[in-house]
Amino acid sequence: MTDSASQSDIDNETALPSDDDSSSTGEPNIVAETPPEEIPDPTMASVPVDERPEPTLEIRNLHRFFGKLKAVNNVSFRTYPGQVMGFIGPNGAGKTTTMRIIATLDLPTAGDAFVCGHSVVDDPEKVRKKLGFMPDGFGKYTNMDVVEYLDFYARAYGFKGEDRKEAVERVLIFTELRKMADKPIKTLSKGMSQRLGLGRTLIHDPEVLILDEPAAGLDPRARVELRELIHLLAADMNKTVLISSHILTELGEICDSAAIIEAGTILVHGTIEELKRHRPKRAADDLSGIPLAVAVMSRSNDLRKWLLEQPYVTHVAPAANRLVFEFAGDDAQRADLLKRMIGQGFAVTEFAGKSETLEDAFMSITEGIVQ
Amino acid sequence: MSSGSLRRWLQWGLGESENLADFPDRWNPMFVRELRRMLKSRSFSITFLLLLITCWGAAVYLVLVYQDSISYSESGPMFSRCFFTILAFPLCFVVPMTLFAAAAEEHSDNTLEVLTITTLDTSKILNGYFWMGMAHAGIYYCAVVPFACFSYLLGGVGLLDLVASLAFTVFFTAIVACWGLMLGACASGPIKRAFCLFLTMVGEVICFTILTSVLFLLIGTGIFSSDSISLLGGLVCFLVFTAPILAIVTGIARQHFQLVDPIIKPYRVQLDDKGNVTKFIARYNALQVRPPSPPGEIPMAAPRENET
Repeated sequence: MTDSASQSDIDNETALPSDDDSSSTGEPNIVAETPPEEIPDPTMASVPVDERPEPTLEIRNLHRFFGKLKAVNNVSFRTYPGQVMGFIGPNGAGKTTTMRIIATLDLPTAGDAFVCGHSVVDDPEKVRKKLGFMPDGFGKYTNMDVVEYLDFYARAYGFKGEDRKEAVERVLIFTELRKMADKPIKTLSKGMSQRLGLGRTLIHDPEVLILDEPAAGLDPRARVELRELIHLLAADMNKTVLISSHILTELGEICDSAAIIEAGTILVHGTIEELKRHRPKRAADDLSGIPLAVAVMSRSNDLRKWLLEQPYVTHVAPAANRLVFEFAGDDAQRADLLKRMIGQGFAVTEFAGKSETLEDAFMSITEGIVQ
Repeated sequence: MSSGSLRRWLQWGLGESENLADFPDRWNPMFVRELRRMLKSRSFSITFLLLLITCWGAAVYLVLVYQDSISYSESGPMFSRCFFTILAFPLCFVVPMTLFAAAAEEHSDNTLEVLTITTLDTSKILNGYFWMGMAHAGIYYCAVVPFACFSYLLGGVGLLDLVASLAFTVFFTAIVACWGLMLGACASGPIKRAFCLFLTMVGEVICFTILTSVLFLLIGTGIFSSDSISLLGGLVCFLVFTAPILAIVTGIARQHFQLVDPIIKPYRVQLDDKGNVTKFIARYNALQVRPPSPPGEIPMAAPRENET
């Protein structure tokens, strides 16, 4: 590379390497970093590339290695204003590491993330103004009230005078913590603490929210309330929300799209419906088929034995009050199976295709790899 | 001075501020937060109360002891020494320990991350803590100042001696507060915390010893005595010795409060036609002290010659 080419790189740091670079490495057809239009974008799949809005959150070829451990390995995705994206994966999959990098709390080994167009590597200060991060567990200060806590963060984000009071009031009302404003934060319940944490992330009215396990440890009511708040944030306030959780039923209800990550790599990224329909590629000799569920009034053990002897039936297992199994036959064969079942004297009360959930998709997609 | 001119003068002093209500907005948010917490803390209430009670007790005791000769024996130095020694206890032990605990809690209570992603930088965070410590000390001064005035009225001690004594206590308080704060900021794990706590306590004892010795000398001989020259020389030596240590500890503390090193930059990636990563390319202007070392299929990229 000549000196002038080097100067050109200095002028435009994120520019692709010049042709000289490729030829010098002796590897043809090499491109640098995934072009933005090729970054996975399931919610915008039907929208022409030039008509898509600007993404508020964009991850490009993100890597984070801890020695030999690839905590995050070439992760790329985009999200847009008003969207809630779920980030699903087993423990140690790289969710929190990715979120910490987006929140400017860690540096990637390679790649970059952009929040409202600002790089987390090059412009962390600008990113912080646009982003709210709620970590998995956040500490509470002693000798501090709810309102003082929010007031401090409003000051820390540069709010002054009336603006600061309005910001605190807005958050207190949104999170329904107004009645608790004068309570010491150490005395708040887990649910209320999570609300306070959410309020803190909202104090500077960020465009992107990163929520790491916000529903962990909450009771059902608190979970539903938190879910409603997150829905409001995206639907009414047009915020982009990236949320990780192990409670997949919750995510299925609030997310527009989700990415399933395991061992640092995104395995599947799509809309919730796409994920639910997603079936892993099967081997040619794999005879398993669509999942079916059958409920009988009695003799469920006999039915299980009987099902195992039937053609096209595999993976028979009890689930709640039913038996679930996989059926590889067509519709006519399915009807015939039901007919024969009744003919055998089983009092069938339910015979239906088992509805696919995000949990099923998660179990079928991930392999339980621990790095 | 009329209220209008006072207001104009204050506005001039406060720069672009529109009114006095905006004044606290200019304060460091960390200072405001920590001051609020400190004023609510039990340790502060107990220390303040103990300080007052001890000063009152000492005053009553000394008056009873000197009751016959109090009006003509110029007992001011004895009273002053007593009050300043009592004041040195909270200044040299409570203030730095409060700062140590507050800074160390940022690590142990998992609050540092959330703090770091605000627009506050490390300097502002540490400055806020430091000034909270000085404000903390200021409240203790307020408790003792009436007793110092009382000792001045008894005679035998000059006003300048008292002011110099106060200045010395402020100076030593600042040093020991800074010491406690910076060591607290370095206490990011249980072992480090124990070690830093030990160092803080050693610093406190040394500062207390030197401060009380200086005060005894100063109040006894007066600021214009020949001993003051030696005192000044000793002070310069002390500064020469402590300033580099404090500077190093401050640097380490700043590192501990900074989660991401702004100098280090990540690698760029090169992909093949299928989107697989083939190389990591060093950035032209960055230190890569943490080179990626993935096992197996991803080859290491050699830094380009003219980029390093």
